[in-house]
Formats: sequence, C-alpha cells, structure tokens
Amino acid sequence: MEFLSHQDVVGLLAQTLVTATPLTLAALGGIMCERSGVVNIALEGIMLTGAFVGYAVALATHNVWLGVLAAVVAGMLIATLHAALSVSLMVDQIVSGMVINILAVGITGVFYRNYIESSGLAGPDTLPHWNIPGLSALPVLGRIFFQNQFVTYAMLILIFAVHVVIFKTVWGLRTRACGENPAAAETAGINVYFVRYINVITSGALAGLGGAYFSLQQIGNFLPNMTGGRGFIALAAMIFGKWTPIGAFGASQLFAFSDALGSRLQIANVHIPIQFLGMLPYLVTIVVLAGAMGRAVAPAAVGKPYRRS
Amino acid sequence: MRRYTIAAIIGALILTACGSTSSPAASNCSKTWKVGLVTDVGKLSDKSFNYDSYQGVVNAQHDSSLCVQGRAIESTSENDYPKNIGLFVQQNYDAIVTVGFKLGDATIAAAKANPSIKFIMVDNADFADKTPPSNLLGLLFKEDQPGFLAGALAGLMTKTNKIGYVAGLQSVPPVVHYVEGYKNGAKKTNPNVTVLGIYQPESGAKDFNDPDWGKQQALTFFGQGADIVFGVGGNTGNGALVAAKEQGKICIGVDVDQYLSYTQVDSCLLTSAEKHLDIAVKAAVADVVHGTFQPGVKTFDISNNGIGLAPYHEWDSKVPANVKTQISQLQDGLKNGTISTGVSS
Repeated sequence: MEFLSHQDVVGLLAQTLVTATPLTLAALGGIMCERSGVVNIALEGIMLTGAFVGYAVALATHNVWLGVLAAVVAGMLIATLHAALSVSLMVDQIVSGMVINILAVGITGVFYRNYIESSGLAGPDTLPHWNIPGLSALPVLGRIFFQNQFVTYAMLILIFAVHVVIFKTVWGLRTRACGENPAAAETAGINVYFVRYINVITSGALAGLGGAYFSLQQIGNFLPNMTGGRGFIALAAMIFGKWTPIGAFGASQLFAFSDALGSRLQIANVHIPIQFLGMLPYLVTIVVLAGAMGRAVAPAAVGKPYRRS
Repeated sequence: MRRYTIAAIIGALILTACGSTSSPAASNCSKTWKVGLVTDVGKLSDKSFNYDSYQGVVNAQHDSSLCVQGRAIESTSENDYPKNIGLFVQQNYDAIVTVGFKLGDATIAAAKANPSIKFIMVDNADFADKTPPSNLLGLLFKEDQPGFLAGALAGLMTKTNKIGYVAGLQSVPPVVHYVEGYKNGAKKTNPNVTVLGIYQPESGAKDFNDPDWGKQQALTFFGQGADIVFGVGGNTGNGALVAAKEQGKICIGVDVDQYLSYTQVDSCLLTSAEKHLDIAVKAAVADVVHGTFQPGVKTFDISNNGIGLAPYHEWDSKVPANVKTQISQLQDGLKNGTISTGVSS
C-alpha cells in the first residue's frame, strides 16, 4: 500500500489544501453575500469570469499579478450586476444568479474563441511557488501549508479575515442584522441596500480570486467552462459549514480530500470501479449533509428582496 | 423597465451562445462542398484530438482544388451530439465529420436516416448490426502503436524506473489503446519499470476537460517517485503536462505534436504519441469531393503513416543515440510485423 506511505500522505494533504482553494474562496464569498440576506448562486459564473479576465489581462500585460488583480476586479464588477438586479431591481435572487452563470459561460466562451484562441499566443506562466523561509522546512506542515502559491496563501488568510469581519466587527453585526431582519436593521438606522451592495461586491472579489486559481495559478491557460461546477460545490460547502468561514473551509477540505483519496485508490490499483471512486466526494457530501452535521440554519431573510417602506 | 432589462440580457445570451468557426471557400468553384464537423465534449480548444481533426477540415478548405467550406460545432454535453449533427443535416451539408468514439451511435442513426449525406466518424467503426450504411466511413487508428513507442521511450529515459500516465475516460477505447500500448512499450524496454496511472472518472462536462484534476494526478505520481508522465486525455491530460513542466519532469503529449499545438509546455515535452487525424480527415473529405468515397472502415497505422512519434524537438540533444536507435528499431519492427504491441483492439 504505497499510497499510505508517510511521504504520500503528506502529499495527499497538500493536494487537498490546493484543490480546496477555489471551493473555500467561493464559499467565503457566499458567506459574505448570504449573511447580508442575498443568495448567491452566481459564484460559479463569477469564478469563471475572474478566470477569464485574469487570464486575458495577464496575456495582454505579460504580468500575472495584474491578471490576479483583474480577476478580483472582474468578480466585483459582475457581482455589482447581481447586486443591482437582486437588491435594487428586486429580481428574484436565484434568477439573477442563474442569469449571471449562463451569461458568464457565453461571454467568456465567445471572447476566448474570437480573440484569444485565434491569436495563438502562448499562455503566461503559472504563479510562482513561494516557500516561506523557515516555516517551509517544518516537517509535514511545511510541505502542506508553506510551499504554496499566492491564491492558496490568500485563501488561508482570508478565512480568518472573513471570520473577523463577520463576527467581530460592527460591519459584521450590521451584515448579520440585514440577513436576519432587514426591516429591524433599517429601523435601527442601517442602510440595508448599502450593506447588501458592499457584501455582494465583496463576495464577487472573493469568487473572482477563486477564478484566478484556475487560469493563473494552476494551468496558465483559460478553457471554456473551466470552473466545471465548483461554484456549486462551494455553495454546498458554505451550507454544510453553517455559513461560517471556518466551517466552510472544513467542508471544502473534506470534499477535496475525498476527491484526492478516490484518485489515489485508483492509482494504487485498489479494485473498486473508478465510477465509484469518482462518486466519493459527492457521497461524502450527501452523507455528512444528511446525517452527521445536524441542522444548518440559513440567515432568516436570505433570498427575500427587501423593499423599503 | 425591469422586464426589458431581462429581455435584453436573454437576447445577449442567445447571441453569445452560438459560436461557430468558419471562413469562406475559394471563389472559382462550380460547387461548394459543405463539410460540417461536430466535436465531442473535449472541444476544439483541446490542443489535441478535436483540434487536429478540425485541422483536416481546415486544410481541405485551404486546398483550392477541393472547393470545401468547413464549419464546426462544439458539443458541451453528450446530449448535444444528435442535435449538432441534426443542425448540419437540416442545412443539407454534403459531408459531416463526427469526432470521437462517443458520437458513434448518433452518427450511425443520422447516416441511416440521411442516405444522401456522407458521414465520416473519427475513432469509431462499431457497426452494431454489421451492415454499415453505404454513406458511412469510420476512421480507426492503431493508437496502441504510438502509445507503445512512447512507453518504450519513457522506459529508456526514466531514471527512477517509475513512469505515469493521466488518461481520459476508460470507456473510450482509443484512450485505453494508448494506455495499454504505453504500458507494454515501457515493459518491453525496461522490465523493471513501474507504471502509475489513472483514468478520469466520468463526470459529464468535465470529461477530457479538467486540467486542474489532471495536474493534481501528475503531481501525485511525481510525489511517488515518477519522473515521466504521459498526458492522454485532451485538456485533462494537458494538466499533467503543466505539472511536469512546473516540476522539471518529462512529459509526453498525445494525438498531435503538442510541441506545436501547446507551446507552453515545450520545455518538458519529450515527444508526442501522434495519430495523424488531420491527414486522415482531409483525405476522407477529398474522397467525398472526388466521388471516390468508400464506405466501411479505414484503419491507420504505422505502415501507412497514420500514426507516429513526434520529433524530440528540444530534447533531441538529451536523448542518447542508443535510445534513438532502439526506438527506430521498434518502429521498423512494428512496421514489418516482427514486433507486436500486445494490445488487441
């Protein structure tokens, strides 16, 4: 059982952290958004837009860092559309999110086909690996946490940042008030629209960064629909993590771990049909969601457009 | 007002959803032959399989003696196959090329229903009732041969006696032929070699299209001591090539000379296990134009230059002369039948 050797288990855990990166970032975005009372199923489309714009800008400027920045900004812009539709125009939030998902697939696909693929340009390099001096030499932990690329480090920091913002700051209190009872929040002098706009846009920034993971950190290339449904998995991770950053991180890790484990069982020639191994992450999600976790309670006002009276 | 906003967005969606590729045919033609190509879910941007098949159509179009106008439709899911074939049928195309084993059933059904249109299937000749329609040609390749040569080369080049492959779907026979050939080739030149490998689990839109997953698998192999990886699964396999490049390992491409189609990974690319899809597709299209179309099955192997190993390019100086000699001996052996890949198809 070579795949259970010490070195390989460390590799498995390191792979888990990397694979969980976009899931966690998008789930953090979902938390910011939903805590303020706006459902965000557009995470998938926002990530895809971030992946595309980041790649296009990196290609044009020959600078991957500008690409990462552009991915974040693009995420914010498309999230602004979601905010405008769902907060100001009071479009059903699911419909608005779905519109953005479909729009993102179409627009990124067309621009990619017509301007990038036909140009025949070679892609930019992937983001560099940074070994944190000192820490990266630690046994086990060094390999897992301190030999990563920018987006993964950013994810680790943002978990705590979002946790602090939601639970330890005045802004977080206002956000949660808007998500639980917007009418009461408004009575207390909170501008619900403003809070929701800012949170939805922040969620776009987080998911946009998650998009940069695909095109700039992992592959150095863009492909039509390359996010492959991970935005929806992130949504599940958010729910399963009970709308808390640390919970969402744990859920993303579990999902990524079962994914990586399934692969390793196949590599190790364990005689289980690969279709079952491929199902593993989804099975684990269902089992945990249905059984072990207990009830996950959404913010009370999530999904309901707030109309000022 | 809000209603118009939504209508405008939906309108934009419809406009953007139909991306197809085309360019005008030459002008001095009495008849323009319309050739449509339907990709599998790997899409034209796979830099290998679909891309190269479409090159065959594009090359036919650029050949002014043929008077061909080519178009392609990409499939996003398996449900698209009959629908996309149907689009070309409705527009009375002269020939329809379907790319990929999984389009077989839809192609055979369409061929039976439309006897006046010529159908060319790439990678499939599975006529269930053994009576292929007279307007249907299946192009088959002996993928085990380039796979065998790539494996033989990897067996000779590995320093750790461990090599890997990251493959597309196991339910697609050409993928399995490549892989089995690769394993046997490696064992042939290096009996001590261990081959680590993985097939992508079926997942719908991500089939052949999940480079992030492919990359993670290749990294796993490198972590377990492999120093060469064969990427054999469209964009999924391309992810493995990226991993090799980042880690300073050796990679082997598939279907086309990926040194030319995927320049980003040039520095790790030892060679590519090629099947000459472009040549085969163009020849089949030319047969349609010239009226020499022969239904049935056409098999491409090393003896008719239908498959091969791509040049070593940047690795040319790093491949020892005795390795090159052994590889060309194997090529000769496959050609004259004294060596078998040990893969039955």
